[in-house]
Amino acid sequence: MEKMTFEQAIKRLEEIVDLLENNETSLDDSVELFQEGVQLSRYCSKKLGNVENKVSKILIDGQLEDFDVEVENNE
Amino acid sequence: MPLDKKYITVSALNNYLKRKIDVDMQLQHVFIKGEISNFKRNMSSGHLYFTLKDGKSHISAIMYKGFAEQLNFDVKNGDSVLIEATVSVYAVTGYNQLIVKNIEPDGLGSLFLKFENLKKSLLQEGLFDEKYKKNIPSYPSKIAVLSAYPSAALMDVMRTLKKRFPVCRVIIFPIPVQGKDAYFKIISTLKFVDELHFNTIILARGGGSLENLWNFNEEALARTIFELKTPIICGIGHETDFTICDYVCDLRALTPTYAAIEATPNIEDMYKHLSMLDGLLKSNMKYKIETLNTRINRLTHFYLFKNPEKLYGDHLQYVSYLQDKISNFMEKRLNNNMVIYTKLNLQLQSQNKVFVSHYQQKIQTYENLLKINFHNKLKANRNNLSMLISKLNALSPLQTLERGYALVKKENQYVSSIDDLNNEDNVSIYLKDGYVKATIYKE
Repeated sequence: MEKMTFEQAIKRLEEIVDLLENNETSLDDSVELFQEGVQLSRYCSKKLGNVENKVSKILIDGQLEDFDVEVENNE
Repeated sequence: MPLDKKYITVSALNNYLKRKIDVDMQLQHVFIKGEISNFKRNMSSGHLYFTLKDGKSHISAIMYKGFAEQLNFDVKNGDSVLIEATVSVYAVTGYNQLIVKNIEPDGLGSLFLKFENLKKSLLQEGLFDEKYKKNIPSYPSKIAVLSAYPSAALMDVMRTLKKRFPVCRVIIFPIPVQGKDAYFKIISTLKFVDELHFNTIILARGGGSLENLWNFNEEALARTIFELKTPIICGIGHETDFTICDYVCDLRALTPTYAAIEATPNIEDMYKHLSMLDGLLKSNMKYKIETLNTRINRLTHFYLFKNPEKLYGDHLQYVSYLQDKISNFMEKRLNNNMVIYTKLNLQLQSQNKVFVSHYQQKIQTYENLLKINFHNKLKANRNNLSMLISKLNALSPLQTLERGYALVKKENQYVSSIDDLNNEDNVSIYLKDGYVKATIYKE
């Protein structure tokens, strides 16, 4: 799962939700799917949580410098 | 009519004027600008006729079919145009006229034409085809932003990216966005960035006039964008501005801000989506378990599980019925056989006694008979013997010899006739008290 992109993880999670909704999935399979789903869900929210350390950069004269962006929430 | 005055004809004058003008090198190649009016196309010959005018003057113009066919825009009345022509005189009317070789729209018009032509040729070549458009990743982790620094467009992009999807790493590559040959720098930057494995490139520039945006209509830049391996979103100018880059890029955004929106998911939406999925995951599982529980409960309360003896009660009864039946039957059968046996046994015993006594009697009888017969036989034999002894005594030769008779034996045979005797035979003569040897003497 560590190698999964967020997109792949979300897609798989959607798939699992659909499978669980489907009555034909056996209980054993459902339990396994559910466990996988819970892990995926945690993995995704962890990925979304990793916000702070992403600072934008700008390439000036061949050097990468930090680029601060102020986001005003005045909408 | 004074004789010293020489009169010439109109046509001679017109021809003279025509010659004068035709040999003037200045007038052979003139560049004139003006506005088109009275435009018409001769359908049979294919030549174009119009009047070129400015605020004060006008001059008629003709464009022959051969040149007219090379025109790459539709000439119409009111167009401001730049004209390349030869000035001549139409001898019939004596009017000056322009023999037009090329017409181009004036100013902006000419840029617009260039734009249209490039757009048309790239379209035909297939550079705008949907099949070449790469998908923009929904959840990018690395985005390259190419824009002027500092610029309002860049700030729009950066603010939008940060607000929507702060988990994404963004690197800005400043580029010049206007001025002559700015597109060379844009091309080299794009090629450089394309090798850095970004998920998405955003090419952004604020609004501007057609001339200001012109770098984004350069064919070389369009071809570079077409060749990119990385998906690219263009956000150039305002909603109404279209550039060649907009057509060739993978996704055209109306403005720089929209480019940033197209490049990223909204993290708030993602949180919502994720928590919705998480909720669905749990509720679906819960529902599944509840459904199964209900089923289990229903099965557990099934009457046979509660009263399992009902499963075999009937059979038990039947078995005991059969057991009873079988033991009754056996008893009856045994009794019957017992009666038969007793009867037969009695019969056998009585028959046996009769049989034995019968044969005992028989044996006794035979035994007595045997004894009697044996005695009789013995007695008879004794009598017979005594009789035979007396008979034997009477017949014995010894008695005869006693009375003086003799026996003659020749070679151990009794001789009964003289014929059996020859002269000089040796014989034995037996008498009552022994024998003597004798020789026969025959006469």
